[in-house]
Amino acid sequence: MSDVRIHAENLGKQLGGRWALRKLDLSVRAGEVVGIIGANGAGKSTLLKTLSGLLHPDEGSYRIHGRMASLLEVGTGFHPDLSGRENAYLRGALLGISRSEIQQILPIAAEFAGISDRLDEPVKYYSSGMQVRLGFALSAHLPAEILLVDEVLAVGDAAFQSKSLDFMESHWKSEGRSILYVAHQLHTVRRICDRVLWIEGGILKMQGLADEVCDAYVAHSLAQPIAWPSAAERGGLGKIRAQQLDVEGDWTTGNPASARVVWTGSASGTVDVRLSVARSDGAPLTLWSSLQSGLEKPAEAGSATVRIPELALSQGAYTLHLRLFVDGILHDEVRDAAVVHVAHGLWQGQVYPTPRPMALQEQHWI
Amino acid sequence: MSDVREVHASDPWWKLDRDSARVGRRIAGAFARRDIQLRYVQTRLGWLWALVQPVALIAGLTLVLGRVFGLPDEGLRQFGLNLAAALPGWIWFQYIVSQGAPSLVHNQALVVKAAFPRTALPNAKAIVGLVDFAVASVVVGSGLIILGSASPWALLRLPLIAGFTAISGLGWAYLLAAISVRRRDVLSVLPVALQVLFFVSPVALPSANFDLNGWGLIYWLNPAVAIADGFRWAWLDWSVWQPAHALSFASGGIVFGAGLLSLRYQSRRISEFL
Repeated sequence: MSDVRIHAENLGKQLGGRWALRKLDLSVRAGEVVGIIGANGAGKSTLLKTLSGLLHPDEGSYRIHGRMASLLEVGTGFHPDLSGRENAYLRGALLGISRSEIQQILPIAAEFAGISDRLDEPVKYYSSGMQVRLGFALSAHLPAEILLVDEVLAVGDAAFQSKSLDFMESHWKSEGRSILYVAHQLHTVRRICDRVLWIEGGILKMQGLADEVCDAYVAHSLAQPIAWPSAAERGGLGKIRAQQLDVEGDWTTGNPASARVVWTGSASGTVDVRLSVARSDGAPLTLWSSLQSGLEKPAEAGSATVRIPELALSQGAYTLHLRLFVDGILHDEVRDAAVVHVAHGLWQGQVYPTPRPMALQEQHWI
Repeated sequence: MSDVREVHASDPWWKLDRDSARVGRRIAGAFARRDIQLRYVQTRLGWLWALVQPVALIAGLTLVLGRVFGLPDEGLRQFGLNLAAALPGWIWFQYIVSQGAPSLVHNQALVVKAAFPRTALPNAKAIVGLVDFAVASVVVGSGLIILGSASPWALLRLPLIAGFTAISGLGWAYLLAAISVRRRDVLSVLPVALQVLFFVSPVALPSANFDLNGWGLIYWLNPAVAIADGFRWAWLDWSVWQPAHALSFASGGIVFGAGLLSLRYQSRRISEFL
């Protein structure tokens, strides 16, 4: 019992007359990284806000053992006229951390953020990337036993995101910190979380090992029909617009697969239909382009079908992003136009050794 | 680390958690520091600005009003003393109210993301104002000693009145800050209201002697009456007190309590409304 850091029982919160969170039981031990996933408005942020003390629960109770730092949006809240150092003290104060404690961690945090030599400059002279990096570095090094983290990794460039993930994996766990981590990027959740809670409609739908819960969540998301945004909400010049995208038959690793795109409108030029295949977290894996494959179609209402002789995708869920170009100019863009589930199959006669959605590649080893 | 925080849905809204006073002091200090630093980031005269406002007001008002009323030299001197004793306290009071009341709305990006005692933001403004007040008081005190008008009791009495100034100013700041979370209108009305209050309070003018009925009652409910007269009592040892001053003190105290409670009540809802 002594190593339980967060313990919530029957926790509930009403917002605007409806239950944003209901009957939630939660327990986080020392050194545990617990992820929270769920659609927008599922109650993830309400949970963090309640535990951090911003909202008072309408039912149930919780107990926090240890010092808690809540890092809701680390990249914001710096005062532009103050130096990075003064901003660090201010942020520390907001989290109940003294000046002397901030003084101890500041050199390390500045080093991590790569801004050691500019710590005494006003923050307004920092690039936005530097501000974000400093924000994360400060938060990551705070002397707190419990961290509530909301979407930290949605910020910074790819290299810094990767560095941050490495840091969270290597330091936070080994230092015995407890972390409650809310994210939309499932691959980060899979990577750093020991356990995952899936919340839907304010209610705990499932909890368990990270991969199990993430897989179930993805499978569930796939079952939901996808509504395309209206033409007015979509990007591109719009003289031609996609009408539908049909994924034909079942897709299986190593087997033929096809999809058909239908569009309307007219423009002068040659149309290029591009389907980019991404993981469910949005990371792109490969691109299929009608023009690249040699199909030259005039940009009038019509359709095109892509045929893949051997599907080079491992078992799992993928989303297709659809874009229509005419002579190199973007005319239409539908993100998440379709979700496909690739069934298990042999790749070049072999069972391919990956449980994750991935692009495969014909290869020869010598 | 033995910090344990336990929260139940059934906790009454006025319940204070153990650490929040300590955290609140630290935050108020940090924000006051920030404000003071920011004030001098891009100025040339720096600390001198804390002197300019009271000195210019005392000199300007004394000369202009003295001429307008055609006061003789002795009258001018009395008028100047009257004003000099009361003005720094009034400026502090109106600084706490005018800066403290909008402090939640101005810092809403932080307020909705970090859970800290909401009184910390108005308190920070009171600390910033205290610095100006201290500087102005040193100047006024030096002037009064040179003129031979300073009371020997000043050092004992000043903290009492200064304390009441802070309490009554913070009371209004808390109350208006709590209201401003739902109704921003109060912040638009505030500058005008404070300007009016300046003219109906005995700051530039000597204290009045109204009866305790009708408009007189309203006059005495104004905490600035106790502040202005209190500083005259403290600095100049003038015998200003009347029974009705009790009303002025009481109103400051009651508003402080009401402000504290309303801000506490509202703080559970702030991140829903802002």
